[in-house]
Amino acid sequence: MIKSLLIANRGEIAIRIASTARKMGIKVYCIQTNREANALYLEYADEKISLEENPNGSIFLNVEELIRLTKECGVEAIHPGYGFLSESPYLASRCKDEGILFIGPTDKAIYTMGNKGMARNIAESSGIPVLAGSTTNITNFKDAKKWADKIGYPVIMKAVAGGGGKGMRIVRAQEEMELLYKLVVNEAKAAFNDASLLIEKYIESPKHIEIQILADQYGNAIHLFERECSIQRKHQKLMEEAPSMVLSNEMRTQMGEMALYLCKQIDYHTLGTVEFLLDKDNRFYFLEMNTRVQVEHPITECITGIDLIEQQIRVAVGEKLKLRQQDVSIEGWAIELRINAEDVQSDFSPAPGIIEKMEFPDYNYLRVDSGFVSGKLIPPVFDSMIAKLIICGDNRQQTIERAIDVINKTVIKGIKTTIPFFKSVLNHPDFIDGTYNTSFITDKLNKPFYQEEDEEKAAAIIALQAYLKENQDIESNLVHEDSSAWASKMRSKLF
Amino acid sequence: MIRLKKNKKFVVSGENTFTLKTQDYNVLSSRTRKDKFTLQKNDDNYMVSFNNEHFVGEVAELKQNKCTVIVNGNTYSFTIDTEASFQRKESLIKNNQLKLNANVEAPMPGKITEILIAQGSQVEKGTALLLLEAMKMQNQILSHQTGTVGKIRVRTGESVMVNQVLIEME
Repeated sequence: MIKSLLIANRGEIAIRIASTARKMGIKVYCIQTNREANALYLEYADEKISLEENPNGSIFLNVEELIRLTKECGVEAIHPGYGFLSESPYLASRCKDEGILFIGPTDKAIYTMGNKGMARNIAESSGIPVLAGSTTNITNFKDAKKWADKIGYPVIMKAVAGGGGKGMRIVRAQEEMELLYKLVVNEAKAAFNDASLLIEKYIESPKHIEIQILADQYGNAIHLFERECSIQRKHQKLMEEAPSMVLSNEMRTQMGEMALYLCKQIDYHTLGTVEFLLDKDNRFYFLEMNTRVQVEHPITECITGIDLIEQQIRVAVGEKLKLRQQDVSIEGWAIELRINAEDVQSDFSPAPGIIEKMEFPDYNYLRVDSGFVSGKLIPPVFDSMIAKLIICGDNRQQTIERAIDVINKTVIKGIKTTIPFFKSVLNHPDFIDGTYNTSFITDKLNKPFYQEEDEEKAAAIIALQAYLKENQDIESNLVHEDSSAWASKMRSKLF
Repeated sequence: MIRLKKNKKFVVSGENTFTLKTQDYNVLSSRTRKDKFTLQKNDDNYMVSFNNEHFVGEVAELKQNKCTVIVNGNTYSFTIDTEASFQRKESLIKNNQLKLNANVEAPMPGKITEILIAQGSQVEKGTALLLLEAMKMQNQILSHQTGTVGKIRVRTGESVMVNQVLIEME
């Protein structure tokens, strides 16, 4: 086992990784940046590496600087978490050059699966259904239009190097192609420095189902069932559950085995997720593969009882996978709610600030993964997620009821959050009966936040009362000041 | 200074507009069957009750006659006017005599990544004016009126604070 680990990340995932690593007796190094010098994750490190102002932007995106720090501190391994450099083949390959253990896939696997076109080809050759799509990288508008016409609208254009919901546009008619092509190309260039696209048939309102897999370096691999992540806004997940209501055991096994076969094709030997789209007839298609730990991994931990970070570290150092497929089973249900600092009344716009107060109920079935506590500042330069609430139960109905109770008892003051949104989803008949899909927010919610009748009126009454009270205070102060001014005048006359 | 010691009517306007009666610095609890309510002040919050429904609200901000209240995690911003001044304002707006705030302000702190229009551009209500990056997301800042773009007060790459004026409108 390794003795030391640098976490090239921040926030809740840095804390999540640090907790498991320390439990395993590994010394944890975290990086302190001046953007959030008092961040909570630093309290979970054995060693803090403090950095002065970095002229080259974020340290979490700077491969050479990370390599330099790791070597300077004599640390054996780097864990990239999610986001930042977690899917950078360059970091993985530089680690290999320098003899640092990268907790993740090989640079080759990251590169292959990170390229949407190549990933699609491998999936197809592994026997996984894929959607009709372009077979070559598209780099000009003429080809884009040709492919879109051939596939038939609606189509989706995706940046080959894309991810995280960025660099994607749905085209419903030929007339929209030109404008949307320009938008995607610009986004792809800006975000990924690669303007090439692929075009695929777009399925209306699919469900998003993903399979968690875990593999070692000796050809042993298991899948840890599915997560359903269909509650999305602009291709970004807001809430997830495991298992999914719509998968039969047969489908679960079939998708799991296909995901494992895909991993075998690319010699994959770490934690990973194969994502699928499910159409309204429950036919599934390959979407993409994520070659890192995912934000929503706790719900899988909750239903399987397996610490995925521990497994990820163990297989990375070369241990054999002790778990076999027959050892794992689904116990109960789990839901994750992503509490983001966003204004749901204003189209989920980011709302950073200072958390004046943040309190969650204390239940043994509630897990809170958060990089913040009361009094902490949410900096505007990072993503907006402030906490993940993971709620477990014996069955789905109980888990939903518990989630509603948790949300009602959660107190967050000082910033706007997605809490009113979850109230609205958890009480919605389409969520309760499990028929929801990725169009849920646009199609099924009149407004994306829960609001009781008379709520605004109650707020108006309070506003007016506060206003009247303020006026009264000012008036009485004025009288008071008048009299004290008079008193001091009298005094000055006397002396 | 508004003298409030006698009965008065106020208009509290947010998404919707509410006309409420007051007396001696207090909102008069209404006793009509239709919208009966009571109001109670606790330590740092207020509770409004309609029949069996209770709402606990907290005042997030109070500046002159603008008040922001949070109820159940939702934020409500109101402008408070006496009924008389509300009606006066309404008629001025109707007759185009009251110029609305014509500046485009940053709705959140962030970085300007692209300016999509130039000084002198004619824009419609809803035209995208610039892109503001905040928390890893590109946000389009849209024009809230039809008109001509005046002075652009920011540059691409510039970091802006919340409510900072980005563009003047003519």
